[in-house]
Amino acid sequence: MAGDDKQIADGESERTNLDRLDHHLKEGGLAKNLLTAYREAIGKDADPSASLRKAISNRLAELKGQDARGQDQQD
Amino acid sequence: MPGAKINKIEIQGFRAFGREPQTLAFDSGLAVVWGPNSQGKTSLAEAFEFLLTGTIVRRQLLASTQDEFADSLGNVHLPPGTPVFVRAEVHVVDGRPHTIKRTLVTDFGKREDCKSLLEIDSSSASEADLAKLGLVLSQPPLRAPILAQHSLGYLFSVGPLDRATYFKALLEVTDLDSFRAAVAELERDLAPVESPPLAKLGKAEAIPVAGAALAGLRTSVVDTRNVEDAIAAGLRSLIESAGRSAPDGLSELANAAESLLGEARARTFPLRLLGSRQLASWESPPKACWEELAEYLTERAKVDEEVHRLAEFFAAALRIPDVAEASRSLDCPLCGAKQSLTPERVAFIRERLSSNEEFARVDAAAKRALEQVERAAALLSASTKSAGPELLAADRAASRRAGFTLLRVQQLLGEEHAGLLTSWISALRALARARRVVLRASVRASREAGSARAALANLASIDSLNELVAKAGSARAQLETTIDSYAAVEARLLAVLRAAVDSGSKTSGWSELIDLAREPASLVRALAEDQARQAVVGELQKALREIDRASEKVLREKFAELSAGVVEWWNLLRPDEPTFFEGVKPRPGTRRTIDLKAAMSARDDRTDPHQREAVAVFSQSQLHCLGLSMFLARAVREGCGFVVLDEPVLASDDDYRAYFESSVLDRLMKRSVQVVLITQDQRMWKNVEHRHLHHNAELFRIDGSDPARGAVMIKTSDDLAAMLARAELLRGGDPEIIKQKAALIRAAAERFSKELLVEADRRGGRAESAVGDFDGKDLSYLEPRVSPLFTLRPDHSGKLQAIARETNPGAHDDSVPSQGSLKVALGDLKQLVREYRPKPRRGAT
Repeated sequence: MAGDDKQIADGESERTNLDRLDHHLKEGGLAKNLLTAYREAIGKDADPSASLRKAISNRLAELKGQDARGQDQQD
Repeated sequence: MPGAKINKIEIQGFRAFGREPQTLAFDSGLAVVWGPNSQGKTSLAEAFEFLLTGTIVRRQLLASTQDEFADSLGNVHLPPGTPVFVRAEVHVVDGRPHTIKRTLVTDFGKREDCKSLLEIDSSSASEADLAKLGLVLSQPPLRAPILAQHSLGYLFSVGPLDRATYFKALLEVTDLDSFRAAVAELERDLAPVESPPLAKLGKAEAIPVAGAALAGLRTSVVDTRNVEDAIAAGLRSLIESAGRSAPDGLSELANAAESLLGEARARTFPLRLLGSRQLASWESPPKACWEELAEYLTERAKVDEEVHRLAEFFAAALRIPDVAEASRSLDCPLCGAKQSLTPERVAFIRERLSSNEEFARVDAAAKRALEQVERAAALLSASTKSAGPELLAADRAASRRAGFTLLRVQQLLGEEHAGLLTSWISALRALARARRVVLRASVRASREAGSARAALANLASIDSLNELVAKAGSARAQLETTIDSYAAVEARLLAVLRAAVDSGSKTSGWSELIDLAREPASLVRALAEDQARQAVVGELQKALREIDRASEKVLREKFAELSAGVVEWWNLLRPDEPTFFEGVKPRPGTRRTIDLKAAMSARDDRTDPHQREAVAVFSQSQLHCLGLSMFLARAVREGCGFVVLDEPVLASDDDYRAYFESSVLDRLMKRSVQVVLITQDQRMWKNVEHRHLHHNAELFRIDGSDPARGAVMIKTSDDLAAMLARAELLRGGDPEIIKQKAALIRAAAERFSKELLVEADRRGGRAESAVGDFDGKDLSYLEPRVSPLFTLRPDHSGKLQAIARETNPGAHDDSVPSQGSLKVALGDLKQLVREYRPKPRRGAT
């Protein structure tokens, strides 16, 4: 099988850039979570920037919540 | 989605094409157009480009000035008003033909772009609609799958940034850049917010004796007790460093520190004399006051002075029962006059006394009203005195003794803030004036109300008092506005003065620490928020680094794939050369430099190559091949259904022309990419016809020898002789070849039949009859009409029937005709042509 045909056959060219990027990002990391939020927004024809902002603001709230819980426990 | 194929293109008035629409119809995947120089070949290629993009990229790439291309799209010889358009019939994935038409609305101007109208199936359309048909354009500047000399060399002549942009667009990684940009944008949302508690902490941290106690608050785990303890420790250090003993408890510590601060500041400058106080609320005397005073004046007019004076006597007389109940004349009990108190006179006294009692009531009410007015005016006066800075109310000498002089203020402000002093003085003067007006009016109103109350009987009118009170009220409203303006100016002055005073008294940051001690919870909240924010910023920066690394990996993967594509075409064009193209690579450590790498080996087997920049080491011929390879790799990568190649091979480059004619075109056909090849090289035109007979290559000639008529397209492969020759050349047992041969014989038989029918029509008097009249008619329609014309031998009509039967495409779906039957069919057709074909006439095509 010629090289070009093989490339088509193994589906490499069918993968989107964001699929490929996702593949190289660490599982559970912020980068991956942001990419997921971004892709979901694009999939729903929504504003991806707004989706990213929401993801970051959730993360901020999560960290603030941890602080608040820490304080409650100390109090 | 498989790319769209072009069935037919029709051009009118565009560049070299004249007002007579020229049509290029393709039935196969390979069309070759030949024409000598200056016959309209480039116009043909650009017609495809204009149809798809609405412009021609040559203007962008080659024009040294924009006006060079002014009025260049419409044919210069066209009569005014002649429409300029390119129309194509395309075959797309939905299986239905669609018509795309682009009409030139406005040609290029000296500085303006051209304007055009795109229609699909006669409805106005956009580029997005083209994409829906599978005609997806690439990124600028080379948007259409049209290869021309000026686009072929583009990548070798542009700067690094344009080259990087081109490849990134080609590799379609701009979506990665968009994602990264959107993530990077988030940092803006996480910028530190202005937080008063944190700003105060910053100032408090700078207090030399207290800073140590506060150090670490920003980075340690946020905990209310820790925060309070740190603030308390800071305050304690302050107090103890002043030689005082520190009390227990945070608020006690704050109070002690504030007292110390006041003392220290006062030693430097009497800031207490500044600090604008608001005007206390005030209500003007109610309307009822003025109504009661007015009623008093009315009642008083009713009661004459004499009655008023004798009222007590009248009251005493009426308390005597005989008088009160008198029904006849009595002697007056007061003066003894005989029979002077008649019942009528008693009734008169009773009436007068009654008036006097009413008067007494309104008299008391008037006094109360005046009291109320006096009190309101006094209140206004008092509140005015206590509004604004203490400086206004203070004794000037005392202020000076306390250290408040303009010179001192000037010193504290320094040169830098001298302007503040000027505006403050101006605002203070305005305030003093407004204050004086209120005080003057309110004091007068109070005084006048008091005087009126003391001598009510002398009150002639309330108008003057009413006016005074109204004037005081409106002056107060003005004062309120002036105080607000002053307060804004004073706040700016005080901010600088306080800092200077604190610096002079070595108390900088004290007031902020005291504020924090009074509200530690706000600092706890602000610290928690800031720590969370900083943590997310850190995570975000880490995420961006990870995205960058991952994007680079994706880019390298895609470059490797693209390189493989380019190398594939390169190797087809220049197999076995020791200098070869190795790949397209982003330069390590850079984001904007893309290298085109050549490999140079000293051996035929290409081993141990040295890597160099292709642009630097490749010959013109090699660069030409590289440009073509990259174009083809891109076209295949982007799923183009067709490509237009305008002079893809240098005429002087015989070696790789042969590879192009065979291997490259074969590979494109194999990949189902339709090719429109435009060339001035007649050898290539003929070679491609012969090499690709099995692909049913169609040949056209472009003739622009008559400028007034414009370029004319002629389909030479429609010539009956050419068809018969091509059918003769198709040999071999491959089923596909046999099917093609059958189709070609059938097409030749159809063409022959049409020519005979036209000839018969003309003999019958229809001089306008043309082959085109029978477009779309196949042999099953034509054969019964032509057969009566075969009069030389009785078996001739049977031969045409047999040709029709043997070459019937419907019968070839599952099986192919035998080579022998086709040989006979071709022989019969050639015989019929020899015996019956009319001599070709002009206009019969």
